[in-house]
Amino acid sequence: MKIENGSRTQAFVALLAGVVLLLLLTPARASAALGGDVTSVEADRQQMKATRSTAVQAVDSKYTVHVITTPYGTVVREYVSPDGKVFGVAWRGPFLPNFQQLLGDSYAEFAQGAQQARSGAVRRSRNAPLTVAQPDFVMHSGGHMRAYVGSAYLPGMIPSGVDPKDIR
Amino acid sequence: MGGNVRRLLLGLAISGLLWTVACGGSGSSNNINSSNNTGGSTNNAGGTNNNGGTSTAGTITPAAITSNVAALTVDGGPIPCGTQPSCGYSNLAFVNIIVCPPNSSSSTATGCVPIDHVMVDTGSDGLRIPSEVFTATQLASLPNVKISGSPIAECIQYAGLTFNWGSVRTADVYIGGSNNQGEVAHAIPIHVLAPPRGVDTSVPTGNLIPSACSTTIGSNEQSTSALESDTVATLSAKGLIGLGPYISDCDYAGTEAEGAYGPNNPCSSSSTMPTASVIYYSCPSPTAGCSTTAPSVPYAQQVSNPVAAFKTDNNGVILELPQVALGGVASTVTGSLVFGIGTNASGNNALTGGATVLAIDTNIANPDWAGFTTQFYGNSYPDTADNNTLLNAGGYSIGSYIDSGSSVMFFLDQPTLATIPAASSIVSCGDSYCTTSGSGAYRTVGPLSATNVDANGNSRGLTFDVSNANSLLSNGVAFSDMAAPNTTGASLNSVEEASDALFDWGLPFFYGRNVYSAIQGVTPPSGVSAGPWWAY
Repeated sequence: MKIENGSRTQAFVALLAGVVLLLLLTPARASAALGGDVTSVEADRQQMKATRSTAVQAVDSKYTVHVITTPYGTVVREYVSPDGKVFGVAWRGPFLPNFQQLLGDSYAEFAQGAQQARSGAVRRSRNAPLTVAQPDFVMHSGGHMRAYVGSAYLPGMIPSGVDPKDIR
Repeated sequence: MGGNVRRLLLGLAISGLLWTVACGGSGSSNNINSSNNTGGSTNNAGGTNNNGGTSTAGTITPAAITSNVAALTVDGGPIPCGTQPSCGYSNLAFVNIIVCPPNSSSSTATGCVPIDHVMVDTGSDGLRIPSEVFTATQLASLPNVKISGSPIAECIQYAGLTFNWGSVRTADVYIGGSNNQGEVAHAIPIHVLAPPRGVDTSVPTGNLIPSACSTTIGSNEQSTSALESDTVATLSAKGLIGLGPYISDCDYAGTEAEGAYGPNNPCSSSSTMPTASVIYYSCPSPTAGCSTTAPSVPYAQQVSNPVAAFKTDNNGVILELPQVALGGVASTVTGSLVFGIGTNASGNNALTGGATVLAIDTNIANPDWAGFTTQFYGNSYPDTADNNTLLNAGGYSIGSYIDSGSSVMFFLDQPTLATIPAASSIVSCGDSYCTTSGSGAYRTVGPLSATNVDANGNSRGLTFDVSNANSLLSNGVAFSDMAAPNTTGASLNSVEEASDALFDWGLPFFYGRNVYSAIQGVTPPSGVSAGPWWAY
């Protein structure tokens, strides 16, 4: 992923302020992040009691990244397409995020996929990285006590030209 | 953590072993001198960076059993084969312990319970015992830790999407010496795992486990969830003893908390926590769900590393496992688990033998946070340059790490293997690595070379081998040459997802090396630097 910088800083700051303002004015929704509207990012932020929420515009405008820092130190990044849909999430920090909140409508698919992946990994460490690969849902989870990292995305919603490995 | 669980599938033997002798493909690209275990210990606390040379697994003499040394065995686990499906786990290292009611007069006092096959996990902190190991009477003598009058429960989640759930109780923990009573941690909080219909009725279980913990709808009264791991069978051990580089399993000691958590310690300051907790839960009634308000659990009441509570040998551990030949061994491997680093007058836990200290990166802004960087044939894991292109200071990666609780070495995946010599000889086979050609009966590819570099620039190389996992699995209980890809799955062609870009140096790495793990927040003896660090 490329990062905004230099001469476009002013425009970026204005955009950032706008997004933050928008987020602050948007009422919380019950439905949440992955697969949801950009407004669901704010629902996540409130649910997680996050202390910060910012947005970064990818330089090629293919997506926007919203960064949520939770009070327990885990940083969640939500990837939003130009049409305002959250197509990917990533996390990194001392604790796993609350998947029920973060994965939204994809949670059931995650739960089923996690069971299948675990059952099919009989020779694998419980703390080894695990991949959940469903037709419409992909998750990578890795790390150990105090340090977790991972991502989840909806293959069918990734904007054209965006590499899934940018979601991190 | 680790709790690693490798099921030995005896029936998986590949018939017709190929005796192909092919290029093992070593060809190190690392500019590291191959000086094996020469010189004294190297412990760089500032100043010039230390290039610690290369460690090659070799003959070691584990410390003799005495009060600060426990026998460490790799023997296939607690469940004999013949009682499928849970028998026969390879590459897990076990110790015997004795758990007693808090502040017992001795390890033979009323209520003390000897427990064998407790798995040694340097990747986590704290003792976790399935409740089925205890009788109801024994469990009753281990008082629940309570906050504001309510028992607290704990949830530990693993990256592999399994979890441990159960009550927090206070106990004495004895370990070491010929009678397993050489060292004692008095009245420390431990985690008693509580599966549905288990012995422990002090906290909710099954479908009453908070969903923020179970992360799945599948946890139910029958405990058929593949994700709950609270029994001897699912743990493949009668307990996990987390002897990692921290005192507690939640908060950090001192100022490190500021870096990892920001202004709040999530376990001891509940005021800003989400309604769903992170680790600890307040559970007023075992027949109702737990409170949605996270309890504030003081540091001293969090489940903690028993070693940190020892009287003097408390600043870390040394794992000393003998070398295991290529192809593995079928008989029990016995080594030593040594308590303390540089604390014993006899010198049996001195930092010697050419070991190099590699600091664990405590700066959460760094790509190798919580570990170090592994250099492997021209690439770095995690990739620092790649990370630096990210604007967010939080980055996305974590460091490579050493973990006795990982049963094999985890690294790369099928796509990224293209970067190393002999890549075409190593392929993903299910959830492990197999080899298509190599030396000897197990088609061994190697030695492969890697160098671990800490955030201060100190480095230590090592060599290792990879053999054909499907052939190895029919051959015993301990393997130094077994590895697995980080990412599995037939449809994946991506490279370096965030969770992939690291090395997990599991138990195969430990054979033939003395491996040190030093605890953060414990004052070390003179001449030994403060944890957290690893050395080998």
